[in-house]
Amino acid sequence: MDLLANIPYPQWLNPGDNAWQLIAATLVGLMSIPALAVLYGGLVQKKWIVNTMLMVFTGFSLTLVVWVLYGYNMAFGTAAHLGGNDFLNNLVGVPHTLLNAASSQGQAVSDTNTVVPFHFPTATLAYFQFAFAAITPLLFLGGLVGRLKFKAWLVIVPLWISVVYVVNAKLMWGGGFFALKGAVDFAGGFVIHLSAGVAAFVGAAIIGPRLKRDRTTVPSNLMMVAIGAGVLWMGWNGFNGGAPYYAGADTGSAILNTNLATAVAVLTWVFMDMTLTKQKKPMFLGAINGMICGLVGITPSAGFVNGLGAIIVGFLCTFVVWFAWNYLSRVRPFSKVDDALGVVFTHGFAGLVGGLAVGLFADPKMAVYLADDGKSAAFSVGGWFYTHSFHQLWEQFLAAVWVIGYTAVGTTIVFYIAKVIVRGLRETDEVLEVGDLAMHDEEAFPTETFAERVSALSRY
Amino acid sequence: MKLVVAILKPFKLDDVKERLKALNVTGMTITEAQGFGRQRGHTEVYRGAEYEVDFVPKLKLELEPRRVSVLNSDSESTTKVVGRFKA
Repeated sequence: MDLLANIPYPQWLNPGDNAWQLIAATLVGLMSIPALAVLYGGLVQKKWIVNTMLMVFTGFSLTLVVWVLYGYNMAFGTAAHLGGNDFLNNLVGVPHTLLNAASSQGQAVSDTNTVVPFHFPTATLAYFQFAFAAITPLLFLGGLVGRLKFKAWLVIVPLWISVVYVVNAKLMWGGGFFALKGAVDFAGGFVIHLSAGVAAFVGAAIIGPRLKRDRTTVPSNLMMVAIGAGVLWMGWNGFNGGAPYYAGADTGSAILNTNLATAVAVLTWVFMDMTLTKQKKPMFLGAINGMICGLVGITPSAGFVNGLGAIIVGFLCTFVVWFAWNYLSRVRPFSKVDDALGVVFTHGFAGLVGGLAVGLFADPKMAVYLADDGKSAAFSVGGWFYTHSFHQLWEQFLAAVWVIGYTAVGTTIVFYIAKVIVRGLRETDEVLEVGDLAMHDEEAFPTETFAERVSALSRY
Repeated sequence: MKLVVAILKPFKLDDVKERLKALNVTGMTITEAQGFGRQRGHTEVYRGAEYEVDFVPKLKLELEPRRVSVLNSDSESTTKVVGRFKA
């Protein structure tokens, strides 16, 4: 065999792009595990830590299996032509697996990107997109913790990915109807955050509230919140930085913009707490809410806006969500639904405001991809601020209406199916009184003093 | 000889311990406790919601009679020391 003929990768593969995409995917994965596990674990009551963390880890696993078996191709594969119009013909992809060598190592192809070919294999794109799919149910889990049956969760995640997520992803990203019409979502402000916010709210309404006691007790651990939030922020560099699919100039812009918007958002929330609350004090959990508003808000526009746009988006998202969190939460329907961690505000409202902001502040000079001359933009987005046209805002608005409506209907269907399958979505009050110990025979901080082993593992 | 029980503000423990040692007290028992008195509780705010916390951390100090040396057998001075630092 001629050794010179051995090459590590095919012609179409660019090692820099492939390496970056896999690192970005891993960063996004870290946002789920451990970031959301410990962030949510720190925000829930002490007796719900184990349950919450277990739901995060199992939800992540469930989505990956679904994704490889059929989910990826429903969202990003060849369109299944379901009917005689653009909408139905581009609603979902043909479901098939990624289990053989060709489907894993072949060049990634997607209707998403017709400007330049992907420079990495399907396995890379599928894993990157999996990390996004996986975090979405974990985000809406924040609205459901503290009363959801564990078995119900095991049914809800695969169903929701199959019914809701793949359709929104196809329509916005996978070359579907809204993508064709010109709506854009840089890294998931609509597909992930707006959708998760709506699902959290609708799901929480269907399941019913937590026990009164759990609604009125303090969070378990603010240091865990700090760790989770910090990993979330830095992980977002992969979230928004991976969205261009190339380790290019716009990747740098997207990451810098993401951090800039977030910094402004944190400071805005802290400043609002210091001036507009009764206590007039800066609060850590307020800063974290601001951080999430900034990260979520800049997600739909990270590589479409310039630095000034990022500052405006960061400020605007926190400004709106702060008022929603403190005032809108007191009026119907928000006051009647126990969205445990307030996902509808920090993800739903922030995702909506951020997604609409694309139509206002996207700078056409911010080139996502370049034309043949290597200078001018082959793909960029222009908002009202630069084009004096409301066209992009209108497209963003239509896509937002779809995501809100479809997610609400889809989530309702999924939750009622799960309710029938596992006979009720809410644990009994008896179990809820105890929490982790009743559901899992474990607690987050076991007491050493009184615990004595009474049975050995069978292998001894 | 009496069992001396005192409830202390946690940060006062070192002072009390040193003074008692100086009186030749040879040991003591400390329990972490929660309580409120004149000090009352306080309010905490998490994510915009207010929580009333009535009880604040205290330390419960117990001195068994046998720990008090013969030099201070009436335990009067021991009580005085603890009394000075009591919460």
